[in-house]
Amino acid sequence: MKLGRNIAITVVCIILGMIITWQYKSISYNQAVSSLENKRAEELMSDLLNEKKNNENLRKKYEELDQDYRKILDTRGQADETAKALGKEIEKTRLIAGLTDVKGRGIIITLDNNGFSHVIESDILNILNELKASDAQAISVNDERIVAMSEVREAGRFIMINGKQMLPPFVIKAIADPDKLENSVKIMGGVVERLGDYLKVKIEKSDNIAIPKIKDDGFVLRYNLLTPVNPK
Amino acid sequence: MSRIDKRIIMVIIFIILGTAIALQFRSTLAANRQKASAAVDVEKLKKQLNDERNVGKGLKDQINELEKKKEESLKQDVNSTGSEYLKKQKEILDYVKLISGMTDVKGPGIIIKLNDALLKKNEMQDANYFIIHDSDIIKIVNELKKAGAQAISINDERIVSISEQVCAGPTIRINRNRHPVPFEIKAIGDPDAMYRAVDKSDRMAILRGLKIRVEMTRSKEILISKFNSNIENFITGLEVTN
Repeated sequence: MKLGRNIAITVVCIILGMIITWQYKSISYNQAVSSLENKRAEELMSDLLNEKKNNENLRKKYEELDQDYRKILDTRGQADETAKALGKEIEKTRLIAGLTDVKGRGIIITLDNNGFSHVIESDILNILNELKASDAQAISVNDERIVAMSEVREAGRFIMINGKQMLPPFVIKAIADPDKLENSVKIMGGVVERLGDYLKVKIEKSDNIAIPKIKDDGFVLRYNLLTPVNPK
Repeated sequence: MSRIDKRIIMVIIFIILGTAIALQFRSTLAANRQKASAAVDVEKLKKQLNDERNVGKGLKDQINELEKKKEESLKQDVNSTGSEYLKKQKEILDYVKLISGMTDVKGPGIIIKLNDALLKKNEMQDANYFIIHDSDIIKIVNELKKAGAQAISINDERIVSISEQVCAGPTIRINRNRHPVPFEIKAIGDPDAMYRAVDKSDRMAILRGLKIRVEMTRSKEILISKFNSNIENFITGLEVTN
């Protein structure tokens, strides 16, 4: 009788232990599943917002293109109007290609070695990238204009940009989007602070920055391998 | 052990058992309910995302169509006037567009495909090491430029003078548009030189070490599309001085 009871209690305890373990596992599994589903929904949500923003930009582009097209149709056969339209487009494209000297409001960042700590390729690359990200519209490093195919190459103590050797200090000038200038300065302030841990860095705002055009010496402006394809 | 002790033990055991069953029941119910609502959300979002993507595709097609029409009528216009000056201007425009990235181009080059490393389940490691970062892309693009690339695009975003590549959550922002993995970098130039430069770069060694999926192919002819955003937004602060 006594033995039987003891066995019964043991069995009940074993079952109880198993149930509790199973329960614990099941609850944590349920939680993991639901948090995974939530994460998936969040991801989709941010993708959706991106896509909406991209489409907004596309719409704007379509509208402006439409206006240009109408203008061309309206002024068909008028040589001076066509010349004007062409001239306008050439100017616009030359600006983004970096083929014109430009001036405007913006930021000047000076970067120099600090004792044994040298300015390296990535420091310059990062600054250039952050400047572009903070809506800079024209950039130069020691008066070398940064264009689409401008490289940054470390070569011993030198840094080479557009095939030109440079020594520190590096004076990086950028003309910013006027509406976003303050924001750009703030973002760049953060970047400069980080670099300041091991380099001499200075950032200043200027209302009158002049940036020269790219020197067309065949080093960066190469296009012998490019064949234009007309839009289908 | 007296009989009363045993009773007390039994009572405690059954109380625990009862609580456990009730807890389990509730957790399962709650999970089922949550799963159902999350599934609905995910489905809805998926559909919306798909719709939005189709809208974007349609817009791109429309833009291409319009650009083609504009180009043609401009050409006709120039030819019909027969003016040498206009012809010259058109040539200049074509040249400037070519070097600034405003033209679709083709030529010999390489294609580099990058994807996050595959993580085994239960591997307790910082996922940060196994995903592609903006700095990886910046470095690779710079290597391509060093090796004399003449045109570069990332996920069909043409790299122009003001193209940024910054990390924005799980995506990378290029030309103000966000792109998720995988990344496809295309470059026109000397295929062998570019292949060597990227293949031998320090960054590529690190990426391979982290099992980032890298695929490089050389090709005789690749197509790189033009800059797709509106130039006007990028030149508002520039005043021409010459």
